Amino acid sequence: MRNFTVLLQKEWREHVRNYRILWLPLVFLLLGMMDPLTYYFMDDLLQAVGNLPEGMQITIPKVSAVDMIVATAGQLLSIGTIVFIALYCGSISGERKNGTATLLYVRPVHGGVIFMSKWVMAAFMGALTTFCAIAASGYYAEIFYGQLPIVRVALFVGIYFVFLLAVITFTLMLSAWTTTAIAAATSIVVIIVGMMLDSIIGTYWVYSPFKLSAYGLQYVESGIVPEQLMMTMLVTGAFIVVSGLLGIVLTQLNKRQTNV
Amino acid sequence: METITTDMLLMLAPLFVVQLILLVVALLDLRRVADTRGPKWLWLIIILFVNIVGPIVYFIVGRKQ
Amino acid sequence: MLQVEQLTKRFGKKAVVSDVTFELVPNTITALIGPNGAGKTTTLSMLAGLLTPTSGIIRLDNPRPVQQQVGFLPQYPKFFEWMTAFEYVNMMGKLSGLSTVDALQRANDVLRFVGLYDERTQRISGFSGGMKQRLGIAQAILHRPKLLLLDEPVSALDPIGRSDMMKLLRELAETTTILYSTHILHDAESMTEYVLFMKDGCLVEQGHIDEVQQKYDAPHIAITFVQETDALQFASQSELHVSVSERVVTVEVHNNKPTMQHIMSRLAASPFQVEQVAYAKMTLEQMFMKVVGEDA
Repeated sequence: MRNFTVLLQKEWREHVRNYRILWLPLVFLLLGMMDPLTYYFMDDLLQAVGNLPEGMQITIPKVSAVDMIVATAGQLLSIGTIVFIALYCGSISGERKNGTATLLYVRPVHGGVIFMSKWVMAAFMGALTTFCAIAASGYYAEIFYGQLPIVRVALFVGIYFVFLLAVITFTLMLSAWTTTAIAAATSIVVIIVGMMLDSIIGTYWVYSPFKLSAYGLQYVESGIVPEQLMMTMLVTGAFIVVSGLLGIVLTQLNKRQTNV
Repeated sequence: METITTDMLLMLAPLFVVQLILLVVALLDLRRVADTRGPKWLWLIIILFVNIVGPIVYFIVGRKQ
Repeated sequence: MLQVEQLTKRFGKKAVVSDVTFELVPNTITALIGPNGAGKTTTLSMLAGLLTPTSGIIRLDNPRPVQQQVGFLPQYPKFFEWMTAFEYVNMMGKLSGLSTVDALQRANDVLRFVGLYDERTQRISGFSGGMKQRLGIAQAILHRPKLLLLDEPVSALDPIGRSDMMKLLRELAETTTILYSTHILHDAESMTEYVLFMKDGCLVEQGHIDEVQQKYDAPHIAITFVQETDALQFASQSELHVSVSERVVTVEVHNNKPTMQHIMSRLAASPFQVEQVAYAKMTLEQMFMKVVGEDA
């Protein structure tokens, strides 16, 4: 437990020293603001660009505050996911490759503690950034389009966070398993191809971690809890636990791969 | 073209503030790190002149971890 | 202290270390000498617990886990450079199992010992190669290990860094057993008591440096020429057992032949300018060449 605290402190310090603790939330604030602002100023933007034919009217569909959250959720699922993969795919493999892990591995520290310290830090960043994005989006949504159903949005944030945890755990597990490049490529391919497959032929099954994001969106749009949501949450939870355990085992096993 | 109103500017203030902080953080980081992926001066230009996206791309791609 | 029996490491079919057996004497410095690729780093990694041997036994006197008894310094130690020297050493102390108070105290102590106390609040990213090597020593001795394993601790340093490092090691050897690898024999000579010669994964000779020296030392005469070309020419003309290294020609003496007089008269008759002629002790390098040569 003490090793864990010491290593978590190390992770925290690294995030502070390379400003990640600052810039990552800022990026997600921007990501959250983007959609409401573009929608709201669409009219002005189009006119400012200015080469619309005389007399042409563009009808911008009427949108509600919740639609803004849905739009931002879409950004989180695509851009947000990729940013997290890109930032954390090298957490473990990178330290092995550059040799900084060696002096850690010659000490009585179990791989599980190393994995968990990284996982907790990444999960914290996930929670922080998700909050930033939704808060920024919600802020403008309320100014422009009126009251938001707070509980619904909060629940959605929870659902999305579980999905993000699955992404983070999977990415860290791959980082424990193999090299940074392979880990990055694999997680991006698995997650993006998985999402695509799930939306194309996903009708054949109702539970998968990928479905969790779909159900989450469905819920925040309609306010109706999809009946498969609970089960999907459980499936995703199981996926997180399995990936996590695998990650712990692989971190310990691959200690010998470190560059001396 | 519609005139830009003070209301609009006030509304956009948070965006500008966040963007500015991000820019400053990116510049601080660029000054501190020994080496970047690709030439440093190029990143300086990207951070300064590519709106919003510049600093973000710098942090994700430009830093050597 | 440490006993190693028939230690073997294979990567696939290739045996990088094979059948290595030796023992370390407490509180002495032992040099693991061999050319690049001889298997020195692999051997040290196994002793440090980073690699699992394919077969063989590593035995320490004390039954505690290896990691608590051994301090390890890789050839190119890599640090979390965004930390300060103090933060790094303090963290590693805690991870080595020291109590919070002890870790704090030890961090200051070891930094003072290696001469980085004044730089303790600076980030490691700004450190020079020599400072990093000293920080490497600091992290290795933090938890008061009985055995220090150092992989090429001096090879990458400039002459000043080198002599600083050797001074540190001699000081440490008063309470610690040190095993260090090197391929620069000259460094080893000035501070080593025991030697292990390694070649192609095998130990080819081992023992106290004086014993090994005696075993292989045929008495010899060293002739230092003023010109390197002269040395080469003299060596090529000679029918004697000679070896050349830069301006020095070494002549082996067997059964009192050739005699010093013989050499002197030869030199007097030659056109070469001579700086010095002397009976000489064998250097580690010559010894190593000989040991390895006989084995090959």
